[in-house]
Amino acid sequence: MNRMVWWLTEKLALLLNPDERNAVLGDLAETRTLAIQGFMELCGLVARRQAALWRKCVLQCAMGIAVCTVLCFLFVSKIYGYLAASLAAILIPVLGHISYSMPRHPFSIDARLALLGGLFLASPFVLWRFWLTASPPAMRHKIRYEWPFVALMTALLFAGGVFAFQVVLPQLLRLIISLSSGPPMITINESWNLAIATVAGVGLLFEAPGLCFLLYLKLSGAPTQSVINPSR
Amino acid sequence: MIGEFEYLMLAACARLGDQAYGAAIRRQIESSTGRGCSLGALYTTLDRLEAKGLIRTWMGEATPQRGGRPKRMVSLTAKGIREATTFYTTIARASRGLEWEAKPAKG
Repeated sequence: MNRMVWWLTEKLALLLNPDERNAVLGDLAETRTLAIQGFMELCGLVARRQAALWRKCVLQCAMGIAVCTVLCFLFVSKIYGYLAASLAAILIPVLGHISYSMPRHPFSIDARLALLGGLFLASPFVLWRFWLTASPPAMRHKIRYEWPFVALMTALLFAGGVFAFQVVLPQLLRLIISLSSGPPMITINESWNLAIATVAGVGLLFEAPGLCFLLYLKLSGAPTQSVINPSR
Repeated sequence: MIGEFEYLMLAACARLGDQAYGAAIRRQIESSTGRGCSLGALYTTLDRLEAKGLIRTWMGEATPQRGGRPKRMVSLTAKGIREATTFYTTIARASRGLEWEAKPAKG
């Protein structure tokens, strides 16, 4: 048990910079701290370090998404028109018609569509900031890793969004409607809620392999300069 | 002006002299205050003090009892000594003539 906790502690310490990692693990060894206590102490330090590290990134990403959301809101009728045609093609054959149930729904749908569009539009910037924050230092400012990561992850996000809208959403709606015992009364608002959640959720799911790879790089020990650039 | 914990850390560094490093500073603070000092608080405060130019840190030698890992050694800078002195004199001045014995509330 103790050995496993120490192993976990050493793995967690990989999130610290090498000098600090050595100093902290040395301090824990010198003071003969109990394994679980050492682990908890390290969790506190790592949490503080990660919070400081991510604060700037999260703020910049939020600003980027906000700007892109405003931009998308300016063109929301076009986005709505394009997506509504697809959604109506799925729903109208089943329901006959779909309607609003509250006067505020058109605006709330527009706002959420703009936010979804903002998330997708800002994704290259968000992923680039994410790379700069989370990638191993030896790979961080290397264009040959940076650009493929951003391009691939953006492509995956868009692929996930398209897959969600074209494949997952129609199947999901048909499944939900087939499960209901009475006549369905689905409003436009509910349909869009489901559509937006599905597109965002599947899009993020498509990002998971890249994010897991980054986490793996971090926790397996960041690649050193000699691994990245053997000639140097 | 520096904060209370920053002062405690500077005082511990001053007391330890050239033996000031992470674990020793932590022991010193715990024994002088009777309170626990977490690793997170210790190392983030060390970074903050270094960024303010009040201390200087460098990696020391590795020892067997530390599992072969080096220490993060700490020394006070002239600015650190000035700031700690200012904090101490301010607290001493503010406390002059005060008695902190518990007095029953009137009425």
